[in-house]
Amino acid sequence: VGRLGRRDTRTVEREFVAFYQDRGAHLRNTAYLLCGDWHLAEDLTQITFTKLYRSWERIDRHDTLDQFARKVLLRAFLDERRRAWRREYPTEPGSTELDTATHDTSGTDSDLHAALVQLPKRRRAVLILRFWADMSVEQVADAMQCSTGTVKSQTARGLTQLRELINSKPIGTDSTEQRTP
Amino acid sequence: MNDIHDLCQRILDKPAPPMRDSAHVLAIARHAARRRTRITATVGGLVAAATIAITTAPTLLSTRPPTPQAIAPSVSTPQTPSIGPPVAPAREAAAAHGDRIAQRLTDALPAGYSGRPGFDDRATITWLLIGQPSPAYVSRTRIHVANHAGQGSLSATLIGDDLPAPAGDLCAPAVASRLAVYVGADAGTCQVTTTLGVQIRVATVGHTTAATRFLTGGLLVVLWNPQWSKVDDSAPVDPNLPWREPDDPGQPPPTLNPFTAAQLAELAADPWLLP
Repeated sequence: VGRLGRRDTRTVEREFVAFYQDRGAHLRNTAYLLCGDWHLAEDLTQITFTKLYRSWERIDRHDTLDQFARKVLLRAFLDERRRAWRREYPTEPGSTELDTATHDTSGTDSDLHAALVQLPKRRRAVLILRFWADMSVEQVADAMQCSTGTVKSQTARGLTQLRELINSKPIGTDSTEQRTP
Repeated sequence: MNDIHDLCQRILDKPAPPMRDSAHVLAIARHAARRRTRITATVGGLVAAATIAITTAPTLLSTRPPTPQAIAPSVSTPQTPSIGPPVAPAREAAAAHGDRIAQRLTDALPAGYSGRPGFDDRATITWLLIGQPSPAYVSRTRIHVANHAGQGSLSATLIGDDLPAPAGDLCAPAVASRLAVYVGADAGTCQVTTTLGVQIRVATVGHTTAATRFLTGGLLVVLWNPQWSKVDDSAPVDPNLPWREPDDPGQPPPTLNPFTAAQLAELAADPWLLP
């Protein structure tokens, strides 16, 4: 029984579903930016929500839920051993879920993503959490279980490396100067 | 720093695949929570049994040399709890175990046979069964087996169906009907063997031989098919059973038989096939 008393399962699940509908897409986007693979992003999001579901009754400050969810997602990403065979194909007739064949990833934006994905995992995570997920240095340090100094140094190195990667290849018609930090 | 945000936004501007609906996500989370509860209960039971054993042992050891009557209970009735089959792994664990299964299957090939991943570019595909009363999965690892005489496939399929292991005859019709969607309807022989202390159901279905190990909440099926047929994941023969191989690959009668039923049963009982 938590501090606020045990809520019934229906209430918990209603809150859970509402949170997924509200924040699921953003978390999946974050996962995609981290890993660069929609299949894996979907799996990481599911892992995150599965862990949230198990912890839901123990979370009595739901204003921090988003931060907690991003932390769980980050841990799932860092723990993930990426394998080419790790795919899931739903059997629902007519389903187009995870049908990435229809999504063209060629061109400038995939070049940008390729540059981002080339960064080391933790460095990439620092940049995305700080500048995409708008997390503070302290929040990122907490999520990554490291010091704030490490977050700052990883940020600086990540920005430098990303700038070099983007400038080292033609990105398309847009000026790379406008896109590099 | 807004540049990074803009960069991310540009990456995400491309249309994304549709998201899982909330009911689907909730169903998977519920299933995982139930499975975790079961595992916790099992582990708790084992810990309790171990605690009893640890606290009882010194008492027994510290007593004076007992009479034969006093010794009798500890010798004749070891009070170990009745432990059922292992719990079927969660979907993620089953999928993540695919490469080790593929390695084990490849290692099992006799000399003169070669193996390679059995789905175009990979060995394992995991399907999530949507619309089941309970979330379930099929995680199939498949090896293409070949020698100078022909080609076939060896696979190991982990299935999570949330059903208990059958208590009675493993060749009973009810068991066969449970397996039918995974290995086809039984049309041949069926026998039960005990390998490495594990009961394995070995059945022939057409040309194929299936060795099945039952788990708590699922099963493991090792299947040898002496014919090779491509499983087109994007356009399966039966959309409701995408893991099934086409029945007639249009090849000559099988000429390969590298495995006996006993060898397949031994593979099914191999603890390395479970995460």
